[in-house]
Amino acid sequence: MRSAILLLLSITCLTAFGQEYPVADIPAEIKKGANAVIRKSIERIELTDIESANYKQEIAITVFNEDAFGFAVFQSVYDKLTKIKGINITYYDKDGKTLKKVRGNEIQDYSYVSSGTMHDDSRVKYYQPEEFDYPFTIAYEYEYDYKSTMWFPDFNPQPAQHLAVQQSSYEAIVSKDYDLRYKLLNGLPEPEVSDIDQGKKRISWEVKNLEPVKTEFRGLGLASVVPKAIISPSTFQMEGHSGDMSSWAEFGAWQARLLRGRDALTDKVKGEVDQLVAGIDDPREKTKRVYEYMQGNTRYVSIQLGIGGYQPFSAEEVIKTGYGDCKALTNYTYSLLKHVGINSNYVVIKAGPNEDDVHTDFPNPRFNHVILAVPFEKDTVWLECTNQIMPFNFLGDFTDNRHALLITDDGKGKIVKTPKYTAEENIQERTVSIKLNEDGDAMVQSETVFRGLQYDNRYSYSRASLDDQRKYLLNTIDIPTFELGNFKLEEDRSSSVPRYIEKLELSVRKFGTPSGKRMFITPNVLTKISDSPPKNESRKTPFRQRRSYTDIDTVHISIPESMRMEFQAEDVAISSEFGDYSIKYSFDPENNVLTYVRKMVYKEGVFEPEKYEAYRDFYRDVIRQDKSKLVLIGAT
Amino acid sequence: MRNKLLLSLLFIFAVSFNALAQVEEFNFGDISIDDLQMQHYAPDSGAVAVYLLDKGSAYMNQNDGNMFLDVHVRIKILKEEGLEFGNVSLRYIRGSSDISRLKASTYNLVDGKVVETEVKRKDWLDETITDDLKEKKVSFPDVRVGSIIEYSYTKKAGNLINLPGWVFQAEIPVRYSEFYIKLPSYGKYQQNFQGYISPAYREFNADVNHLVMKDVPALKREPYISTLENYRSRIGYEIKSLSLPGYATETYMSNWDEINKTLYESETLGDVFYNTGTLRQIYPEDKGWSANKEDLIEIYEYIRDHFKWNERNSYHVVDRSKKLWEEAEGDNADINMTLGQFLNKAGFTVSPVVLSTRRHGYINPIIPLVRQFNYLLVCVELDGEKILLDATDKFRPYNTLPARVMNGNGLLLGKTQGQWISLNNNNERDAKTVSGEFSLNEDDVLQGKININFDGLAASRIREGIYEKLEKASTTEASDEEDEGDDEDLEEYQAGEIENLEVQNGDNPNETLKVSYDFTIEENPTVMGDKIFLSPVILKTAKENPFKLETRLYPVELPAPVSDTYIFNFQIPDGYEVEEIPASQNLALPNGGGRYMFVTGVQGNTVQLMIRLQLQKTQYLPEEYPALRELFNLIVMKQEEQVILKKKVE
Repeated sequence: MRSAILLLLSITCLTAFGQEYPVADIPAEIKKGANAVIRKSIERIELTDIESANYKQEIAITVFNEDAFGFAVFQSVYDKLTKIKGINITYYDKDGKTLKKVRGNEIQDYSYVSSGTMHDDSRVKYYQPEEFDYPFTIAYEYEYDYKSTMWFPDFNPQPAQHLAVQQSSYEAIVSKDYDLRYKLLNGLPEPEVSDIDQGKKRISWEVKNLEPVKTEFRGLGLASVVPKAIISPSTFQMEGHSGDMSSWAEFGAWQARLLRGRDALTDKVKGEVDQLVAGIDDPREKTKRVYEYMQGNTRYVSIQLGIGGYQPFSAEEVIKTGYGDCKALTNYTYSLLKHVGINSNYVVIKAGPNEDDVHTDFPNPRFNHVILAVPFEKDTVWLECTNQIMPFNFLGDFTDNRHALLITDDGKGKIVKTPKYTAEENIQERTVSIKLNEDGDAMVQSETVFRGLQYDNRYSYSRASLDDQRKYLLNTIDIPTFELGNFKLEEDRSSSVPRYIEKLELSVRKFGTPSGKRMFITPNVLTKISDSPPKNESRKTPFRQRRSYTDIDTVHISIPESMRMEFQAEDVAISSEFGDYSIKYSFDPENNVLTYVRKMVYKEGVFEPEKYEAYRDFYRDVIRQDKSKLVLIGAT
Repeated sequence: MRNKLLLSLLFIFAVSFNALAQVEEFNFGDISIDDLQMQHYAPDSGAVAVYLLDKGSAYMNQNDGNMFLDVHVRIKILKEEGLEFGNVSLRYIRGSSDISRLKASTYNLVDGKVVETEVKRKDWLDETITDDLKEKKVSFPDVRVGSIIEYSYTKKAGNLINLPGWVFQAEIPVRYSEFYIKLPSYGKYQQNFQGYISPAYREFNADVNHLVMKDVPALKREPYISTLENYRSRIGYEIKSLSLPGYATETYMSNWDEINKTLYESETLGDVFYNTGTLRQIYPEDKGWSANKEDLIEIYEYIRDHFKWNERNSYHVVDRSKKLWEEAEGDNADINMTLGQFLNKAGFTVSPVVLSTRRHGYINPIIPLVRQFNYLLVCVELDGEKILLDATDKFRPYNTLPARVMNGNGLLLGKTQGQWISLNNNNERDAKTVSGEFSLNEDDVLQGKININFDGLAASRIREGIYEKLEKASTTEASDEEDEGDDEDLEEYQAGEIENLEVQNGDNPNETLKVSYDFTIEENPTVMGDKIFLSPVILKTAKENPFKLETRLYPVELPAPVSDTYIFNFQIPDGYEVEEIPASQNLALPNGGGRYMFVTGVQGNTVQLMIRLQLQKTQYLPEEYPALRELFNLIVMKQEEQVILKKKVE
């Protein structure tokens, strides 16, 4: 009996040995709500000299279901300055028995070029396993040799939602006198720092047992919730160009050095530009002409090669080929402006309609785009140089309202903020006249002017083919059934605020629903809100409306002579910190015309979670009001 | 019926007899000033760019029997959005479709003169995508709105057995597209020409095929189409037989009877299907099966629930695992063959059926080629009825097929002869019955209960979501506040704010899927003065007309006939009586295509409403489209009508 127990014990020990990451070892409290768990992640970066570093990661992730299958795929991008080596991938089943060891020749090697990018040396190592029975675990390791020290991986232990972390650590080995810079977010504690051999020090973090998080509707994103350290160099070097990232001024100076001497133009182009601005005194008008010249003579092609990620092709190169990336086209525009005596500044920025702003107190190089700022006495003109159809001095939601790094005239860096579009600027102004007959059928004419960001989202439709415009209108006009008559989508850039104008003629059958001697009409015909924020009784995180907008609709309904309103319509006003909504009615008895004015202002802001119910109520009220009906009755 | 239609479409050619005048000559670099001055392409004023020329000439190299294709392209850039056409990527496979004799230039009009900027050989990047798949690419220099880019190259393109084909239609319009092929004299070929556009010139003979198309419109997606590729204008070739000098004639394509025989006797199809020997270990002998419907269902479910489909399609066995049963995962052929074996062993009369899925396109009956098949089903004959079975989807009952296979006809393989069998007549329906009882509460808010029964495809669509959730739940621990329930999949069937949602038979595909809930709707009805105005259709047949475009180029395709019923009973509040209710209405599509009924009545203190929509066909031709569109116009208008109640005079 006793020996049997011993035997049993030793068998248990034996089986336990050699098993990796059994699912049973995951603490229950972090498993709830997790689609995957990082069992162990060890990251280590060592700065070997001013221009090189070595990075290694070992990681094991248990995948619980197919939503998290992405974690079971190995994918690692590399390029000329980031060599990859030492890839090892193994899969284990839920008990920790080996399912598959991936052989080197099974790992695929692709060119990693996003669409629209023509010249890029990035490649990716890729392995996608079959779908094993869930749960299963992937464990892998790989190493990067960096031939540049301007970019360090962050310590970002919880990079996704529905992802738990059992254990994750990061250590950076640098020489004792090196200032490795970091910024701690969302409660990640200070690192441990200890001296090690050969005049080096170790800076390290470790986290354990992080429960999964879930982002919420219109929340501030994962980055506002998970612990993280952004890590950045102080002194660095890339392809022989050394710099210092400790301050924006110094980082800007490095960028400025890369720009130097790239502004020479050919005589032919000089002649063309001189002719273009001949006789014009107003520097703003000159700038506009030059900008439009650049748009008409170039096109955008994305180029990302080594230092080319930071150093533009010269202006001469753009002239020769007729194309360039954001850096090259911005530098080209800068060069053209310089030639006509206008000073401008290269601005490095993080572009995208939903990007988080940069941390202005922590210089680091995470930008992805370049634009041009042209300072004038009273204001600054901003130029997006990669878009051939963008109006002059219009950034749109791609680069609006955020901090960016401007390269100053004396070759330094400075943080600036791009313009914000206000509720008064982002306007949709619509005038509708409806001629209703006794059967309830209506002729609807509408003219809508869009400005600001409401213009931004639409102006390209004015350039589409008639057929595509028609399809676009048929698919976006929110009326259950209608015939589209004449229409016109046009753009007006004659003033400094560009406008997009949409003119429509619709015939709507049964706009009014007749019922015996009565007819029901919904005066709000074209600007309805239909989706309210989803129900969430236990909102945990703040929510945000990113930008402010205004919609104003004035609807004139000409009522058949034989009918009148059965009940007096009542005005509505709903005011909240999320927006203001109002409806005003007026009636012209002489012509039997009812006028309905709807105004909705969406207000930007970040709101505390407790306010979510009120936010939802506001939208539900608005939706209800948008649907409200009026009753007409035969006058007899 | 449907295949006949397609066939006739395939043979509609408007042959023009003064045709040769339609063939034009193009020399590299011979760019006309008119084209450079062109600002809009007249047939499609909004086009961002247009192929002025897209020409391919194919011929055989007499030395090695390889085919080569000379390609010559000119693109005019018309708008800024078309500048991307100045970036050209040519993919090829090293060794088998190498590209040579590349030539390229950009042309601009400068001071009334044509200025050519040549693309240098070193400007072309040669990039490896993966292994032997490579890409030559270039950004043409000096491209701006108004520019014309031109390039030509020669590409190795197949051999005597695989002739190159040509696509005439692109995502931008094509002004002139030409394809010329000198057919190798050693082979006999079947050409397969499809599309809705008539050639301006056509020459088909034993030596040469020569086609010119002009003003080919851009191919654009329309809703309710299984795959756009069924409509793209193109030509392809299949080899029928090859007679090389000194060799016996080799036949590649004979007729469907031959194919039936080959597949029936094939060791990757018929042999496996009828071989029950491999079932020794796994077949439950003790069950005492007999060939009746109960046993059919039990065996079907046993196989269906045992396997997981790996989402791959095949019409025959491709590297079937010896441990298929233990691994419990395979492609559709692995699963359905096992089903066939089981049924066969249990004494059923079974046959394999091969077909092409919707994504794979229609079977073209004039081209007897195995390659057209990509899927396999089982057909059981029971009491004189043919039942088609597919055990790949966990949530599907035995007598329904997934939408992906409902694509025209399949070939039922027989010992002596094959037989075409319709894949759409398999009793599949897309059906639901909605019934609602509701009344006003003391705050004049509408509240009540809804029951919905889903059958056929309507149920399968919802079950897919439910099934995914069940599978996820089996390996994952839900967090405490995670919403249970299936709100997402049912969202479009919810009226107002709902509570007490119940789903029955979510995971039992043989039964009707039943959903019920309590609801309140605040914005309906409207109480004004002594009147109550109610929109009684609280769940709409269609929120808006799904057919928005006035005209249609291609047929409307539905996966299964539709049959929806709505029954609403509204209790009249005390002290009120009916003043108006919507009138009843009865609508029908021509040729028995479908009907819509809207019936109202008052019974005691209840307003009753019954709506029924039936769409009986799975394909509506473009000429039937206006009626279909109008039917939905009328439906959408009708369901807005109001019930008016007024206070009783005491």
